[in-house]
Amino acid sequence: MLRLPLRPPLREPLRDAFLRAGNISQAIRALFANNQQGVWYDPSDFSTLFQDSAGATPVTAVEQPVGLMRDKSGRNNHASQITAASRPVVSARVNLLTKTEQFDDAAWVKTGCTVSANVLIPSAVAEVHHITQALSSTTQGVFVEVVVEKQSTVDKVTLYPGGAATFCHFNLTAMSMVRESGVTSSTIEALSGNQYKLTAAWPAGVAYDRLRVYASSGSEGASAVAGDGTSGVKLIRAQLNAGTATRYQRVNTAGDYDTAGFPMYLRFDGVDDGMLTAAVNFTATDKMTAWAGVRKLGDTLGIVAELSAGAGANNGGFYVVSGNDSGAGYSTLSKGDAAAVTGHVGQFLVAAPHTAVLTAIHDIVGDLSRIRVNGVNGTDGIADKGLGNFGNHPLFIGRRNNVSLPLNGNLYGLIIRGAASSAAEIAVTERYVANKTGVTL
Amino acid sequence: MTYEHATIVITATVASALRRLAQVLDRNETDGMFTTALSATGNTPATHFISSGQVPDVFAQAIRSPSILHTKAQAAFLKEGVTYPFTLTQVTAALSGCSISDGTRTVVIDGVTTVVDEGPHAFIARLGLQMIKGTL
Repeated sequence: MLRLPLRPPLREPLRDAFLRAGNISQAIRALFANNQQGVWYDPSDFSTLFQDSAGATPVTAVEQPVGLMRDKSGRNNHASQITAASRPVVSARVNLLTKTEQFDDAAWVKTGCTVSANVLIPSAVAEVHHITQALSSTTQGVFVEVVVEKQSTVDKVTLYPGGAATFCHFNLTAMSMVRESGVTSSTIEALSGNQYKLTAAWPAGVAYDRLRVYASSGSEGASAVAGDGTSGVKLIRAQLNAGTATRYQRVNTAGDYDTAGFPMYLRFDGVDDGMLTAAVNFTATDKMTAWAGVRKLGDTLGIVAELSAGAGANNGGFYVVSGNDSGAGYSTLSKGDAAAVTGHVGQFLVAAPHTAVLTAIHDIVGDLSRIRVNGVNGTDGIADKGLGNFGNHPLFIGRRNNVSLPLNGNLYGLIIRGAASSAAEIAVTERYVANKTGVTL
Repeated sequence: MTYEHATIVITATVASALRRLAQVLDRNETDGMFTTALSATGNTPATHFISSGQVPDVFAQAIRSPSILHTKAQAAFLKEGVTYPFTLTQVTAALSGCSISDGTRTVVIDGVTTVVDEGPHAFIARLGLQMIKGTL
């Protein structure tokens, strides 16, 4: 087959100037400045989000459904979802607990203790003393941070997320820790005002279903030692993350929590959520660059974005997926008029939970499908893709053809450009998406 | 329009009828439901279908009550000038096999009853079902 050499990127002085000036938003707009076809979705920009598919009801707060997401590329390739139950939800939630600064609330179940003005006071009975908040069970690794204030001889605290051999004991006076075998790591840090920051992490693969905080004046927080009925330890705040630690997020209720500075995302439930566009006409090019900020919560195969109802079966389509037939990773495929083969797939293996800036690079005539994960190239797909350009297909987000392969994860942003992109354009857009995703490249 | 969370699992035998009811009830909100297939083994054939997410509260109320669903659907079909093809008995039978969650579950911890979030995957598992996995 006759092959055309890859053309070097055109020099575009105006765009390069934007990149040098570091004006990232302008640089993203410049990706489409020469009539390149594409999309730019930004879940953090509420002016582009609507709860219904017709665009009548704006999104005004986190935890609302998104039925219409307007395209910021200038190409009017807006994404929508007519079925209410299949709309993703916009969120910034990272702390899975509620009432994170209100420990006298019923969300915290008290056993062998009382809580008054956030002071956990062990009972005067020789029993364990703890508060517990139940969670929807997760088998992801969990990270817990609790800040306490020592006020008395009640100076031992134990953290427990459920599971076996997972107790993590802290001695506030000795500044020491004892971890059971099921605890990955822990820290204790003295803050001002007799306060201490306690952290602990537990590995994936165990069912964690609670955060329990024990306090005692005995040898460890979980000791069944009687208190005096009046002394205790003050609880300042609590956080539990699934997977990776983040900075502290105050949560009152599931719909009332700190959002400032936390990345906004669309939460796709891995069951039936997805969005789609009308047909996007990419027929003028055989080159494609796509960027996505993604957190995958599982390794079941799920669509991040796909051009056409199935890129393997439709000429001129492409996909970016989370999870793969090997069970883990991200992969991407495009093809021209050749039948789809495994060799078309670029992939990068990494297990969930995982947060990533994904960049998919496709060149049909150049026989390349490449996926970059947080700036690192995966294994390229270099099999013969045949000939032809990309097609005039709908773009599906979060689900194949709006019916299958639902994404179980979060989408922080999506940019797709029907053109080859220079190394500088790729780098600056990765930086932009990383900033939206909360990833440091 | 106000919404509430609902995870709805229906049996495959009534999926076609309930899809049709949902479609006509509100073509801008509930058309396209119940397309995700479930089974006990995770393999075909599907024995159940699921929809999960924010649904109009009117629909959430109707799907829990055969008489409300029947009345509202009948009115919706009439409005479209289409013959309503179901009886109240049929609607009642169709909903009798439905399992509906509001996204929470009551559990007992240390003898104290408390409510925890329950996502659709946990709900599916509690029903002894799995999603039928697709392939690329």
